[in-house]
Amino acid sequence: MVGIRQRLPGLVVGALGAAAILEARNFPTPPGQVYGPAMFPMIIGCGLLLCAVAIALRPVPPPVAEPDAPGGKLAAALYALAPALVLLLFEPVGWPLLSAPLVAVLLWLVGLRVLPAALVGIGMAAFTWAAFAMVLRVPLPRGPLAFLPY
Amino acid sequence: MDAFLRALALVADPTVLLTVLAASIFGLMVGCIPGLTATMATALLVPFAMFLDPVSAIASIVAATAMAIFAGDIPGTLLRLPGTPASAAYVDESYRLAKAGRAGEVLGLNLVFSAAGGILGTIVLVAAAPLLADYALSLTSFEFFWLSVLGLSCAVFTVGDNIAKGAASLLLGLLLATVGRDYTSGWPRFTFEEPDLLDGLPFVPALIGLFALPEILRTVRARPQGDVVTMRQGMRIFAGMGRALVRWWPNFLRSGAIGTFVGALPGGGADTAAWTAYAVSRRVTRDPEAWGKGESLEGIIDATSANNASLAGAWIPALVFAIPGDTITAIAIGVLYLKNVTPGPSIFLENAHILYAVFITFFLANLLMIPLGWLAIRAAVPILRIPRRLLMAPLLMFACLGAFSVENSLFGIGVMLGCGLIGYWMEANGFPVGPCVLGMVMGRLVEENLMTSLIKVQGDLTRFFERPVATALAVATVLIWLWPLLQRLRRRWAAAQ
Repeated sequence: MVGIRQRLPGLVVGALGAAAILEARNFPTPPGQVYGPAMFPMIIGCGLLLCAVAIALRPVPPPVAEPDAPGGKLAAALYALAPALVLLLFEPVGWPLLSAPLVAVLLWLVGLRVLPAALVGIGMAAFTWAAFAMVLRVPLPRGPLAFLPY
Repeated sequence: MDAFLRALALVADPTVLLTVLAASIFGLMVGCIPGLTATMATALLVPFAMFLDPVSAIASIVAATAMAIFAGDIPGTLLRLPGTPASAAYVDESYRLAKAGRAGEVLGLNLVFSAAGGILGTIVLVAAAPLLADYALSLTSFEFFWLSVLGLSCAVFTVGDNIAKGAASLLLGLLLATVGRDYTSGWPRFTFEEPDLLDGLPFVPALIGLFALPEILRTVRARPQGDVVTMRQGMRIFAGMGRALVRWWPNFLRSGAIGTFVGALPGGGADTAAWTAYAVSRRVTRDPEAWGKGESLEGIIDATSANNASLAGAWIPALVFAIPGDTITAIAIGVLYLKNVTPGPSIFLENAHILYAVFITFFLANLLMIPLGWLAIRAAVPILRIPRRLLMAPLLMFACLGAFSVENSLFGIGVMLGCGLIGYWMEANGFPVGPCVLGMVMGRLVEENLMTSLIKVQGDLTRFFERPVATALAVATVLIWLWPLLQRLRRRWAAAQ
């Protein structure tokens, strides 16, 4: 008996194909032309629908995952959240004050002790600031540390 | 000749040489860490490459990938964990030999035959690319359309067992390539009134997301594995290499040729090249008894020659037809476009010096592999003792900074995160990510050639098959798609006999 979980990839691909077709129907064809901007996305949408049928009708179990480390799932979820945190706090907090504690916490999550994790975090913030802001001239936000050189 | 001398001067520039050296060390380190692929190394290099001139940018990619593919053999031999998928084919045999005290010999052979395989592939690239480009100048949009479709079809059929999932991944990439203003009418497609999407989905952040984030999450989640086999102190890595080269040269030539050919097939890649060469070697060996017992070096030599040769092979369709041979060349093509260098047959006329510089860089990187690889083997045991989970936090920060720094925009980090989660879901559900990236890179080329051809034929679709080469390519494409069905019919017929 094939469960909904095994059919889900097919359903997701089908929904994507249908959404592509529905959205592409709104693209206007330029006057005097037979083919417009909708043509290619429509073909892709139809292809995705065909793939969805093939995937849903003959679901194959997903590849066997490596065994999880203790607390591995939670650590992975928090690692996935980290870029979202960067997105939110990058400008108000600035890169150095954001990256140092973030790296430290992420390292602590995977088993490094607090002091080495904190030291690596500070080192990482200093190194990335020197490499990206000072050498590559990327305007990383400084946050409250307005005295930092570019 | 003038273009060649200009290329030589470009590569001899200290900035380019330093870039090659730095990228080589980076590639060796990434390759040494099990689970981090050469593609991920390339994806993380791209934000830096954006700040370099085109030659340095491409040189860094060439050097890093060549080194990473070789370095993948080191943890394969010492830990039984392939550093990159390209080393997976012969990891069991290498580890058995290492446990028998022959780790230095195996790694020495890996190093020498990887460098030699890379040089052989480069010679084929240098010889074949200009000839093919000369011919490609006579092709029209019809041939280029069918060639692109054929290339993409090969990619779907070579990446995994589930063709429907490979095709869905490719179509997702093609769909992502349509985001932004349509190039014929200027109409914004799938932009959802987001001004940042008008110029298309930012390629570099998407790439970092698709390749780096899933690997980081998987590594953090998984249980650490493997015990390092120690090497004897003072062991001579290059001892007996001359004899080995004389003894194994037919294997080397055969596997180098297989690797270059497989690399040139879109979607082929270094891992397919290694598996193919290993399988052929096992079939034709004169000493089948020694295989699988930790006594035979033959399969290792064949596969390690092939995977490095495939890297140069993948550049043949990439440079001549703008059709990437693997995900690494797909990224490199993306970088060339971002640097306003358009790959395709005209590159040989307009930017021949850049092309020759790429060729020279290939030779340079493969020669540099010998001393740097020797150092990497010496340093490997302590490096491999660092738990790889600890490297993921710094890599995640580099991924965020890379995604931001391409356009100095937070939007890049958002795209990286979104694409990363999509990539993680795809891999967890058996969808290969490679075809998606190929679709993203080639989407515009396929659509441009399709639309140009459709405008030419004015509704008469039979004209897509009017020219002989276009017809041959169309037939080949159809045959590729019918192949699984034909195979099933053959099996059913054989069973009925």
